Amino acid sequence: MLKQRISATLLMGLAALSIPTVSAIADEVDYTEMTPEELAEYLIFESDSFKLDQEVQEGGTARQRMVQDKLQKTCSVVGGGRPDMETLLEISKMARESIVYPEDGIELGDWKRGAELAWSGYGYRVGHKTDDHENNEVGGNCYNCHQIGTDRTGGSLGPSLVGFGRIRGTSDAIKKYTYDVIYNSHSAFPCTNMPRFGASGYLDQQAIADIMAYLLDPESPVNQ
Amino acid sequence: MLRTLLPRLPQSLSEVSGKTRNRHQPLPLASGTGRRFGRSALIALLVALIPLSVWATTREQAESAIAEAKQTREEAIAMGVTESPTDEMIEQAESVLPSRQYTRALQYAEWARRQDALAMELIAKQEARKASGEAAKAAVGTYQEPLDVLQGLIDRTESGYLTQSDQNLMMMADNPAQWTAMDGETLFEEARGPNNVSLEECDFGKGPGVLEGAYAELPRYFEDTGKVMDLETRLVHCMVTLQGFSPDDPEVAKRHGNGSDHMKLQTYIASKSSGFAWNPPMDHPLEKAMRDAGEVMFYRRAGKADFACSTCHSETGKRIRASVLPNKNVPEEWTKAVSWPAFRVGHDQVRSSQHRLRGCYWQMRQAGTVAGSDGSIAMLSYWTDAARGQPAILPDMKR
Repeated sequence: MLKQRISATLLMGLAALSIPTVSAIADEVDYTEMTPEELAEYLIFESDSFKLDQEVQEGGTARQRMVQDKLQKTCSVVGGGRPDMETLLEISKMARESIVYPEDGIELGDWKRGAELAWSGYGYRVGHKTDDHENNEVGGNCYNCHQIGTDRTGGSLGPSLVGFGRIRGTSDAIKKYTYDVIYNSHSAFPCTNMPRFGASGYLDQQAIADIMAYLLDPESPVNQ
Repeated sequence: MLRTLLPRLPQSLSEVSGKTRNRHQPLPLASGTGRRFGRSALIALLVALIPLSVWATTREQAESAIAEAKQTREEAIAMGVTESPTDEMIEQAESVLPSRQYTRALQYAEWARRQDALAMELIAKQEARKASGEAAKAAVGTYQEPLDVLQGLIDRTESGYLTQSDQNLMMMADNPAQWTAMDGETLFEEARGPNNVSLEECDFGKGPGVLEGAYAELPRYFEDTGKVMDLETRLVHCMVTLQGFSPDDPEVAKRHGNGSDHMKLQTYIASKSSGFAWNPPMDHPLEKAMRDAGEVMFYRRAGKADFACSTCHSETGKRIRASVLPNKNVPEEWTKAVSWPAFRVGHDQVRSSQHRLRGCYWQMRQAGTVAGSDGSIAMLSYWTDAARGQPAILPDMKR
């Protein structure tokens, strides 16, 4: 009996001694106990791997940039590929519902400014260098992925848009389609790689109208 | 006035060529016998020339050309050119022989022979390329000059990414990063820091001071720290624990630029792995966990523009503006993508893996990365694993 009590006290004493080490280990999470998804989330948000507290151009901090919304989450497929058809249709429906149209209808803006915006890759970058939107306006990055005019070299991640308006004309239906694809291209191409330039607030209405003019205006070099 | 002084100009083609469209009509200039004689002599000569050119090919010539084409055909078949239109061409050549179209037969035979010769030449070229590719493959695992590694990869891979800059390929023998590596060697061997010791006792995973192939097996788990570490983090660890530098000392804190100790040391250490196959160990559960988390992060769309690493790096031959992007799914081109340190021509600086990662997150409009953080090392673990088995090009040269 006494012996048991002694050993129990001893054990408790030992346990008390080891508490600091135990809690130190408890502080550090065991990565091997997590699923890859859990560990990825932990690494992004809890491990000081990213400068999450940095202010971002749209207000708030970089932390909110790292939080995935429903579309980002659904369209992230580990190993590549796309979700099933049902999910894609849902994404497309959600995207259509996100689109807000200008009060006075969809108008084409200034194709000359649109040409510059389509070329520019400036805006929204944060980290070691932060884009200052006061100094330079936000560009659409269009040429990163698309060939548009024939005077400049565009990328090939997206389809070529050379002669976009010449081929399609400038009917209201085409204007709406173009607006939809720029505003939220998932409406037509669910889980596309293209950013949601309107829905995410990346480009304002004027910029969208100008880029649309660059694509559709018969005067624009895109359609010559 | 002037017109009458000039000799009369011919007014139609038939007049020039001497063909007499209006043979039975009196010729406009038929004014003398001498002139008439000259014209008919010319006609006679022209008429005589036509059959001469036909007779220029004899039956023997045509037959020997056909025989030659047949022989070439056999040689081509022996080399594996089975699907070819040449059989048909030879048949055609033979089929016109009975009608005495020797010139035509000769031509068909000649075309067939050339077609096969060309096909054989192409195959010979391909085989030479394949052989040098195989030789390059066999050489993986021993030191090779970065340019030889790259050439070997080009020889056995169709990749617009690997071959996109002729200029860089030409300049690679004089890659300025080699000088950075040489500076690094001096720094590595020099006794430095408060403890006045060199880095020769630093263990990069293959034992203290062993650098050959060590970088190709990073990131890896280290017993002494209980962490998975990449080259930069391990180097910091040794500079602090062995040499006694404080993490804030410029030797440790300054990570970028040709002039930084870090770029010199990293470039030197990495250059000792040129030609070695990427082979980050996956024996420790932490190594596997980090790699797998890195994979999730690679495909994880987020940020202002919904980008993930996979947006740009999961298809072959795609471009951002004029730059051809490397595809993570093609290890033969991905090895070049992860071969850092590399001299970036556009930056005029030698850059590290951590610098590349930071740049990618910046372009993706996501939060900035912290060098040496577990998140950054998870990404490096994943991207190095994706190049597994392919030889490292160190130091590399990039646009």
